[in-house]
Amino acid sequence: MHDPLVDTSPIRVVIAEDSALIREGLARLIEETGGSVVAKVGDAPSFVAAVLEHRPDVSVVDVRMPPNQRDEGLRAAIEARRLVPGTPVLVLSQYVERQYATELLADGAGGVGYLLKDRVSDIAEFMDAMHRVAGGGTALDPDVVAQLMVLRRRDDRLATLTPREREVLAAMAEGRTNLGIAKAMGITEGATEKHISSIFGKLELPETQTAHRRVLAVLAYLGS
Amino acid sequence: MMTTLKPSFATGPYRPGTLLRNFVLSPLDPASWRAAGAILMGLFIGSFSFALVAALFSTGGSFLIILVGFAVVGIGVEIARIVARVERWRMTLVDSRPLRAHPYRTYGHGLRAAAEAEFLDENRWRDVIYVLISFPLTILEFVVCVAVWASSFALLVSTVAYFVIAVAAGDRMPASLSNGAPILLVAVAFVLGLFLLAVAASLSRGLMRLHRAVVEGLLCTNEREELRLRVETLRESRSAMLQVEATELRRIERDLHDGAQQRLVMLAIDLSLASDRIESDPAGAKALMNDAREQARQALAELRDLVRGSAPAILLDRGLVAALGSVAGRCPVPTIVESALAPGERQPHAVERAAYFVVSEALTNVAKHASATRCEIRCRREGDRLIVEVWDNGVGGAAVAPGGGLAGLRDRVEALDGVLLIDSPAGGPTLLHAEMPAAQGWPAA
Repeated sequence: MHDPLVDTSPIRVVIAEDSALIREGLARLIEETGGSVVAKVGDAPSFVAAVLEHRPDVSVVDVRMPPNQRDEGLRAAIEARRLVPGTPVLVLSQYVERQYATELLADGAGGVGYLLKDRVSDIAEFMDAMHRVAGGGTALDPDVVAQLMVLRRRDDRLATLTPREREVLAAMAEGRTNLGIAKAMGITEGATEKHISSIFGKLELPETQTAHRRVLAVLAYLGS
Repeated sequence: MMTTLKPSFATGPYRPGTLLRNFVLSPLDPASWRAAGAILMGLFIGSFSFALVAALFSTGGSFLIILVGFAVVGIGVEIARIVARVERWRMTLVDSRPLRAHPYRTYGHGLRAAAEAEFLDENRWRDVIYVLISFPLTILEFVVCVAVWASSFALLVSTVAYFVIAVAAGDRMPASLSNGAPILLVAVAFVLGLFLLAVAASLSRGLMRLHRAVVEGLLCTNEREELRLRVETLRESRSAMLQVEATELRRIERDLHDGAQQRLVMLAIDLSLASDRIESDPAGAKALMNDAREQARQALAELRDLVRGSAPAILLDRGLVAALGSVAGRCPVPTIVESALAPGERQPHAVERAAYFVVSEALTNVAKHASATRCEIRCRREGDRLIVEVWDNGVGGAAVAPGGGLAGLRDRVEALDGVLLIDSPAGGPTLLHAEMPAAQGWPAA
């Protein structure tokens, strides 16, 4: 696992994307921000092979890839994580679906990202997400989280949250750290923590230590 | 049926010898006697059904102003339908080749559909017309038949009786008979009687053949007619399909033109302004570039929504239920999906697409107009029909208006040979029900 605080060597990335334009664009982006692209592939089988060969710090994978242009990338990411347990993958897609997020997170091992391709255009955000995933964290697209937040059958406990708390909950589900949430919302870390413990109290969730466990708890609640 | 043992007019070869033999032997053929019986039966059926239907029509007709009249006429139409059934059966007494009833419109859902089936169905009116013309026809057939059969019996019985009486009287045979009538005359009368018997037998069967032709023409279907109807239906559904495709293309074209295309133009303008300004006004250039990025993001979002509206990736990848879950998750009204489909069950893509489209449009309507607080999507398969329903507890009052969104949905469903029904009383709730032909349990793709 890559921890930028301890490890100063560049983050090693495998890119799987069939469109040459986007592949090269992503590679340029990663190299310009100090990463190292160890392999660039254009289809699912070579992606799995590249992960086995290079053991990257993180892989960036497009959902749609040849031959069927369907969800090969998603299946390949799950397969790669089966062969190399916990290898971090950041899946990019033109469309995000709640069900795909659930499938990706199913192994519970962490190090999973699932973002709309558009998010790449915000370089700082994207790089933050990539490093979070590389460090074993989670990066879920706000769009997926929004789907989870409205797909409630009985809005009992969710309805008791204040609008501010809902925002914090969404940010937690996206996989942000306390510091990240504080920065994004323009509040102090202390205020963030207060919000979080209030949310956990209202939703009757157990307090957990790691960011990843926290995401899983929140998602399990939202997905129930 | 074995035509070699039972020569018949309908199937026998037309060689003169055979024809003559058939004619001579016709009184011995049970089919002839059945024909005579059928003609006798026809007299009763024809008269009785005519009297009944005419009475119902005239009674109902005079009460048409109050709606009861329609019900009475409707009963008349249905009785004609029963008569048609009996008559098709009567025809098979003589010629056992089966007759297939012409198709009737089904009643459908609702009073209006039932009334249309009852009063606008060509085949039901054919039954009524048959009842009207079969009345004089059966009488005519009966009269002709009775005349010939009776003459023949009269001649045969009287000559035989004559002969028996003459013999009993003790006269010498065969020179002359006691009252002086020439033996020749009696013999000729006897032969004439036999001849008339053959005529009566053949005539009965001939009349029944003619009547069968009338029944076939008015009350039955044939392959050609069925094919014609099928072609008609296919032509209609094909043109609906083309219409749907054209509408869809127009919508995509318009959305692209109004949305993503405009944004890309703005993006290009922002970028070129930024490039002009980058040295003189770096801060302004940066702001323009941020604008450009925002335009690009909006364009992507609009393209995504455009595709999601008709053929989202998850529909192809995971099938209908997953796609419905996705579209339900995006609806601002709390929506649940209840599916009775087998997990992983797939339908032909056109069917899945139409079902998805119906639900996604219906949910858009619910969100826009219904003021609902609860919405349910239900899907199930009944035999070879896929059924998709969208229910909401909103204000109701949704109706199909020409050129409206619901009309578009109906075209789309009908293009696949399906049915779309809407039940939306003012005050709600609204239920939209779509049925489409489906394959039985396609394996997961």
